[in-house]
Amino acid sequence: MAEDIYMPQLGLTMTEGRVVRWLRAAGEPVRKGEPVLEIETDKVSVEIESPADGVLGPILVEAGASVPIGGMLSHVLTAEEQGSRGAEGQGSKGAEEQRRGGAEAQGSASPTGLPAPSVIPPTSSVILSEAKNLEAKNLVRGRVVASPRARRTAAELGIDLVQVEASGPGGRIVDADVRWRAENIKRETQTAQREPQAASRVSPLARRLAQELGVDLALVKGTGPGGRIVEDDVRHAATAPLLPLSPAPVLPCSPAPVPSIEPLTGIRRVVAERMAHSFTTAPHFYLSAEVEAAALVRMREGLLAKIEAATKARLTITDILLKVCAQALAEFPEVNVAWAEDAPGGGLVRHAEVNVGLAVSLDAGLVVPVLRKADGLTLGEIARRRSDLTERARAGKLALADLEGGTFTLSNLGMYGVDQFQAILNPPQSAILAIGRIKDRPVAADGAVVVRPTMHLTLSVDHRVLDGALGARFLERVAQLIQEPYLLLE
Amino acid sequence: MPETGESTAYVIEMTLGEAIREALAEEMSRDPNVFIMGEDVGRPGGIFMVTKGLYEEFGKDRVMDTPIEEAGIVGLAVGAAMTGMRPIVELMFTDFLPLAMEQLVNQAAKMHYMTAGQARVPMVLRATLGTGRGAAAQHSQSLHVLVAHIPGLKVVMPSNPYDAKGLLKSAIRDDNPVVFLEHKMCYSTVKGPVAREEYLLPLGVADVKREGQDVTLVAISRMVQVALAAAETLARDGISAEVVDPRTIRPLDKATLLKSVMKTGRAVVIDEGHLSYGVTAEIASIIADEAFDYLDAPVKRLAALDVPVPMAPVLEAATIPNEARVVETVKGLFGRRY
Repeated sequence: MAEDIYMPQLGLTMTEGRVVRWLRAAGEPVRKGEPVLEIETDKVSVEIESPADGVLGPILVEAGASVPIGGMLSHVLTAEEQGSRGAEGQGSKGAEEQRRGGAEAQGSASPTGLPAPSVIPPTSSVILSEAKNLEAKNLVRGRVVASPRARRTAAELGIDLVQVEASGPGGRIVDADVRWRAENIKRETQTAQREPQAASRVSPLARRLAQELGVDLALVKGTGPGGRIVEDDVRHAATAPLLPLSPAPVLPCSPAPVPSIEPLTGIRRVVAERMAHSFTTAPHFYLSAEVEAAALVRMREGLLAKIEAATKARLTITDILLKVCAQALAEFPEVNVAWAEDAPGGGLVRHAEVNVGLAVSLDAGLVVPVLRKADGLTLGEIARRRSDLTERARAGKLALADLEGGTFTLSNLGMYGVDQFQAILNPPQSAILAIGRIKDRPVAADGAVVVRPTMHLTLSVDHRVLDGALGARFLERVAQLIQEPYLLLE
Repeated sequence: MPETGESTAYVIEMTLGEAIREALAEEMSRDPNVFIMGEDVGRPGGIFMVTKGLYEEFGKDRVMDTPIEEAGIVGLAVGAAMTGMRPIVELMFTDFLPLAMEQLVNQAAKMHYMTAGQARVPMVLRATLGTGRGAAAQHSQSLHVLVAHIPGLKVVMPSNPYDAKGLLKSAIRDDNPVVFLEHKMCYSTVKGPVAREEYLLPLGVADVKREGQDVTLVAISRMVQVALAAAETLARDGISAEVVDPRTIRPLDKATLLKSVMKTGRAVVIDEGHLSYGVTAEIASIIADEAFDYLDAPVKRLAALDVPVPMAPVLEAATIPNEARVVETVKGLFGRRY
């Protein structure tokens, strides 16, 4: 039996992974547990190990390409299978070549009976277009590997199997893959067909009305028989702000520049998906408070030199805030919870550990490394770990474990001169604290206006699992710990 | 589950063994030509207590204890059937079928054909099959394939009490020899609703025990229970399995099997007989042949290992398909790791 190599699921939110590079070439012997390729997941790179002793099969996904989790990457042929393939090749080579035809027959078979390397483009140097890539994948054994049902459906729907992405065991194209391809083609065609309405497809009344109301008929979608634009459509268009259904008419004098769309990759794409998901599914509400920061600043200045001498890490305001959040979370276990995303109907997950994540901005996007069991760490330890995590984040060297298990997130944009902001929840967490800059601001004290350093805290909360009063008590405690940080020693 | 709509209000829960006893008693009351022969079927009530009470109810002339001589008992039944009686022979274990093969294969199965219907053999041979009792290699086999191979014999293998009763009554009324095979572990453990009113189930009609979309599990006799349990587990993992019970392996209801596979595109055939040249091979071959263009994955077979049934319970269980093996096999048919 060949052992398949799949794109693994390495985190709850991971939906696909990208092949970074292959460490072994097709046909090379591999040992069980030996790294075969490197993939990039949500936020980290991971090496995938060989599932068995044997020979690496054809590479089905080129370096640089992404596949959904569970997608086939390659397989390992065990000694047994190599033997039978070898015998097959020797026994009836002529017939075998004739039967396979196509690409494989043209190349010379390698000693293992694998397709000749010429069929598979060298892994890293050649980046194929998507279509070419698929074609190479599908023809890797000399013929398209598809189930009878998939072939039948392909014939019915007029789909070229070579252009279908396989999801079945061993890279087999199955029925669902063909239907998926057909759906995509249909969608593309429909989009292409949304052209301006032909002049005859407008009722005379609608045409007159459009003129009166100043409605551009090219932008109106017809709902009458055969898609004819009727009176209602024009009236609707006149009142509702319209999104153009067709490309804007091209003026002969100045061709409009076509905006280029950059596909999102890697972290950027994950951020896009997660934030859109969070903001559209988690009902957010926000609590804010202004706190005096003089004691906080004094505390940092007092400890800076000592901690730097001991740990070589420079203590930051953020470090103390991490400690404050961890302390408050330990006191409010009912805030240290998450929405159970995958449970049918949802649910509440109570975390046993206080793991505080810190939002770190990178050129490529945003990552949130996690300080595990932060409530048990000293300020020195927090400073050391935070500086290690942020340095590795910027170098792209975070491990998956650094990013997992967060139960709360802190996001500090104070250093960018932001006074205050509202953060989007980091799913499935139920709260995130947004910190603005520390600035001298006028405050009322004992009936007089005085100038003191203050900062704004904004807590975003998932209303499915937390209510306002509880969030407020939590924020109150955070504010208290910031204003009187010696309470951390309580 | 009962197919006669109005009788559903009049169902009682009973075991598979009780359902068979009811069928025997009803048919003996209805037709004076029906009688039972076998080893220990009389006063002892049968090795698995299935005929208990029938001796008292119908007397020694209609519930006859016989010597330990399988070829002789079956031979007697063939002769009695040819003269107009409707004998029911109990053979204890399918392991003893080889002793009676001459009478079954060369006599019972051939008479109707060779006499152009002038002589018929309306007999039923009941026997048990299956593992589960640690009864070793000579009392645990599932040899149904031996008789299913023979044209002229019908082979019935019920999986629940309702089917067992309706099918046995039809078998007794059938004008040709029927081998009726009961799984010994189902007698007391498999319970289900049975209509109080009289009903018959036709031989050669499969039953969909559970509807599903993604894969068809064809299972026979006790393996139906295994398949149903596996389907439940698979459902939790997002795979919707349909369970089809052929109920009679000859005649085989190909239409129902093929319809299901054409819908799901995947099939796993599960049987407690041996793998090689077995019932699973026959059914898988029919699917591959007649539903080829509808298959989305190779047809898989799960059957008893090709070894004599071991006596040690752990080893015995290891030779037989179980829920875990079914689940694993089904998942292997899907590319995404479930």
